[in-house]
Amino acid sequence: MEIPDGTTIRELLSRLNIPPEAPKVIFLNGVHTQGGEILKAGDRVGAFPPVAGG
Amino acid sequence: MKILRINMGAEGGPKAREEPMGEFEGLGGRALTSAIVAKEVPPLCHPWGADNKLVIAPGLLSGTTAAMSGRVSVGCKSPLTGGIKEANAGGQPSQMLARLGYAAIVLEGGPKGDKLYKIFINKDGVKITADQSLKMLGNYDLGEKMKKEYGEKVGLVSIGPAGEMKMSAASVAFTDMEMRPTRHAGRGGVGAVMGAKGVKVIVIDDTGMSMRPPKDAQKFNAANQKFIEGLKKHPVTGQGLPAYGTNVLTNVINEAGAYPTKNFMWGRFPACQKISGETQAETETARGGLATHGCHRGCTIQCSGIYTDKDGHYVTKQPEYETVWALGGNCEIDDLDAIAMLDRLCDDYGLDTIEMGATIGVAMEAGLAKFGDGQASINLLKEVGKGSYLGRILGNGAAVTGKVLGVERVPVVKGQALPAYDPRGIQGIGVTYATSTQGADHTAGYAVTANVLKVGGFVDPLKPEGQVELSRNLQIATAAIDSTGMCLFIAFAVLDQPETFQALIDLLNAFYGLNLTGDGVTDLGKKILKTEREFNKKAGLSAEHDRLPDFFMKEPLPPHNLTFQVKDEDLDKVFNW
Repeated sequence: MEIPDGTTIRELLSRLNIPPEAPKVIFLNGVHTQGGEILKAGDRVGAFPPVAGG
Repeated sequence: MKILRINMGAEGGPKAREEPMGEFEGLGGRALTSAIVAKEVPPLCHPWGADNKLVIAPGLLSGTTAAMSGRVSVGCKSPLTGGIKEANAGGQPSQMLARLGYAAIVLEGGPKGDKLYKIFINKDGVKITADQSLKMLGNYDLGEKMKKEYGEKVGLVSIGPAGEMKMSAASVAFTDMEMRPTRHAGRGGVGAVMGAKGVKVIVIDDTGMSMRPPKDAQKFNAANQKFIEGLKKHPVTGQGLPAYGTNVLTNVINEAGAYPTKNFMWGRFPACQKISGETQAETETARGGLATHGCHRGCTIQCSGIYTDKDGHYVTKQPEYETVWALGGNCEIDDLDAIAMLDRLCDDYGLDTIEMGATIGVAMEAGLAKFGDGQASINLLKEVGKGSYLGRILGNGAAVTGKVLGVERVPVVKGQALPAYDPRGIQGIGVTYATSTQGADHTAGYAVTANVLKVGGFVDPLKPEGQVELSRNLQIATAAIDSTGMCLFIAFAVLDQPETFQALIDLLNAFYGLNLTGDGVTDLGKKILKTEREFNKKAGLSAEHDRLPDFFMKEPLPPHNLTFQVKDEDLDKVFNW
């Protein structure tokens, strides 16, 4: 998706109407993050609520 | 509680006798199966021989009103790993056996001839009958037959054709609340040992028995209430698992870049959304199946479900994450209907879905089928059920299949196939795979919790630091939980919420009149692991077997392009305490 330069991961999630306390695990290009990074073109973000399985 | 010993090789035919617990007093589940196997099975015996034993043990809290307490442990010397084995399952039989007053059933001795036996247990005792009409029946047909003979209120413990043929991927099936053979003690070939003992099915009828009474009912009920509250409160056990089941992990593990794809070549499967837990739940609901369902009475997590075909007809229980990965993503199959059929066939033939998925992946790498071809995979699995030469090769697991077909990339430790997490992307689970007494086993020390899911803390999955300690602590805790009869999924709540861990301890103390502390639980776990390690040592397993296959240390895994980095000398420290 298209977003303005300088958008952080957290800001992106907020744009998508995801409540800030909802994600338990956030990935940036497959690596765990707290969400403060500024996104670059081609970045891949994954956010998940608390989940587990086996 | 008593131990029911059934000597399958007794003069004049199989004989049952009941014994007091004796030196095994106070033990249940894995603690009991490992204690009996370590004490009574010569570590160098042939796994199909008269000296091996198959121990089926409910847990310490099974048969009580404690929530989540329906698990059962199946122990023996494993024909797959050559070491000690505990395979664990849900379903109904555990609670029924416990209510009948049995802490364990021990199948021992060597049957004479090739008669196949049916064992019936109810409040009046044990009846053992030869019944050749059961030979080579699938678990589903067997169930229908047993329903006609014994009614719909019984629980069944059975093997399918795979166990009868003594295949090393053979499971022991336990029926669920609908009396379907969908819950399996899958890993390590326990079904082959039951087959070697000549037992096709154990029919359990606990009519007339009541819930086991606690020593302090008031404390017990209070602890149970707290326990249930804790499970409901935690988002994993209270929301995620009931809604999506274990397959909720597909998207997460794929995102983490550790979803083993194409026989452990890559860490991401681009089509994974087609087989994710979300898609599966949506499909089940749209077709009139069930996305929320418990595998045993008293389960409050309800992570299971019912999968129907597009016309709404039952196919199988909701396939688990491990199954969807092994028979799906690992083989690049992105069709939930094909995966459901593969799951049903495994349940029917009595096979470990993890082992079979890894095996088919190896077979695909050998060119027996194209990666992604669901129908070809179904055809390969049908060979196993038929017992053709190809079927016998595949049914003996990934290592045998790789050897026969000339495939070098075989993902096994101690002969047992790796489950659904690549150790190069989740270094902590790699430590468990390498060092567990059980072979490559994810539940034995499920480091994925802290490595990926941020449950019970966070340890970076892409680095070697902290993984040995993480795996060690989880292996200890798991061995203890495996003895209680509790479903391991309570761990998500218990690891994050100290009051829920306390409620579990209170349940044990109130039931048995004990004064256990958290340390006591840890001590139990350590004792079990020590017992298992000692058996394995005598069985010929050593530090050299506590290693991952070479390719994990040599081949970087995309997308992170890492190899497994935990050093051998650190792996050898897991059991230092």
